[in-house]
Amino acid sequence: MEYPRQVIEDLVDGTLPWQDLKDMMSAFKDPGRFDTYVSVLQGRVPWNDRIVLPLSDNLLIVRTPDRRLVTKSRGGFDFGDYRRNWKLEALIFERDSDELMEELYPRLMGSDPRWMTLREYYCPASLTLLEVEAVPPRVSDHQHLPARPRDLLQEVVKTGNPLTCRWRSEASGRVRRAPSNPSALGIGKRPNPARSMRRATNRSRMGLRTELPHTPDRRAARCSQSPTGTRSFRVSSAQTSGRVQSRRFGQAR
Amino acid sequence: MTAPWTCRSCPALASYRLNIEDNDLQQLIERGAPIPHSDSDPEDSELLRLLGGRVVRDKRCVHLPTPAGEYDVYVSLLRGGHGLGDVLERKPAAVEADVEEGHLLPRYAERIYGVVPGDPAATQQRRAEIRLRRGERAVPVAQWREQTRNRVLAKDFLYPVKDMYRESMALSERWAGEFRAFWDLPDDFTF
Repeated sequence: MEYPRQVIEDLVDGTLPWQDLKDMMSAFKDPGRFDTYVSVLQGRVPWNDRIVLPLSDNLLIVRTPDRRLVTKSRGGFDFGDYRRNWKLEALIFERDSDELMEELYPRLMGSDPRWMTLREYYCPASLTLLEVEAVPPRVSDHQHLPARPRDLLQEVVKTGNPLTCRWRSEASGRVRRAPSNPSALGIGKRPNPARSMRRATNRSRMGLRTELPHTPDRRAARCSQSPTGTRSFRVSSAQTSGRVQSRRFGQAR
Repeated sequence: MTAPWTCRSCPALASYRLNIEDNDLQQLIERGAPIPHSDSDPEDSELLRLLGGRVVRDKRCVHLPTPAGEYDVYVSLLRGGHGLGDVLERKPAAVEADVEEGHLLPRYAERIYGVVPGDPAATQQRRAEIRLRRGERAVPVAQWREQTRNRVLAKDFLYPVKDMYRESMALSERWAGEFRAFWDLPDDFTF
């Protein structure tokens, strides 16, 4: 299922009714979501460079007409190669005194600037606030992209494909459709029903109980309580044999 | 009741403690006089205004087990202060709703978000002023690095922060190298 473009427009605008938004958050992400999202953003920037990856509200990685991948602000400022920390080219204002903290927070509610300062980064072209760091005083700032997205982007540079179209599976070397969920970017753990099932089986053989995870695919795993109180897992191996096998584990074994 | 501010990083510690012991809460109740219900604005504390007693009020939020008497007041606030995106891009109606619902102290609507409730023209002007002010105060990062480097060289730090840097540099040669490179420090620089 794919959401109509208008829904993604509303999502970007923040005008989607809460119930629709909640349903969207609870559902699996539709495969074309990211592409639609990027195309909605593309229609809203005042320049023509192609968006490859949005980093935040006002910062995007784009491909320039001369095929460079750069970090660019919505206001049009070019921060240079996407692998370089864009903050080094930004304007900065650091709040490092009680007086400056109290512009933002009531007294007693801001941080103690001897322990933590706020660094505000602004776009040199539009003076839009791009990011705020809450950091220990004088911390150095050398890295801005976590490793996984950085690797994915290097893949983009090598293949010349937009991030959303294809990426190479690390395990198999096959090129396949990029999953459009955050866990595919290495953020959080990817659910793997088959692995969970194997783990549950092994634990069961060792006499340990394991709650099966919720799985979206009812054919993949069914958990039922038998009349004798033993727990039986119905494991589908339809992927290999094309039929459903039933195995019984637990106290009976 | 604080000002949403940081975009991505952890928010500032927006918290404090306020204890009022041996206070006159019991007498207020017996007289049917107004009693405090919240401490929504620490700069105009309802508790301090309405209650007399022995006051402990500071930014230490750790409460160790200490005996408390009947009617002693104990307030410990832990509140986040972070938001997402540029404050000047938040819809004025949303800021006004925050004020109405008590999430934002009214004076911060104009000071931070540049929103003058019910006056779109004034809001637009205030926001333009705030943007200009940003341009006056912010400096290129290269210039800021140059200025701040002297404070690193002078080791102008609170001792726990200095300890943190000393330990981090001892734990990781790579991190120490990146820290020295960022601030353009001598190769043998340590805390």
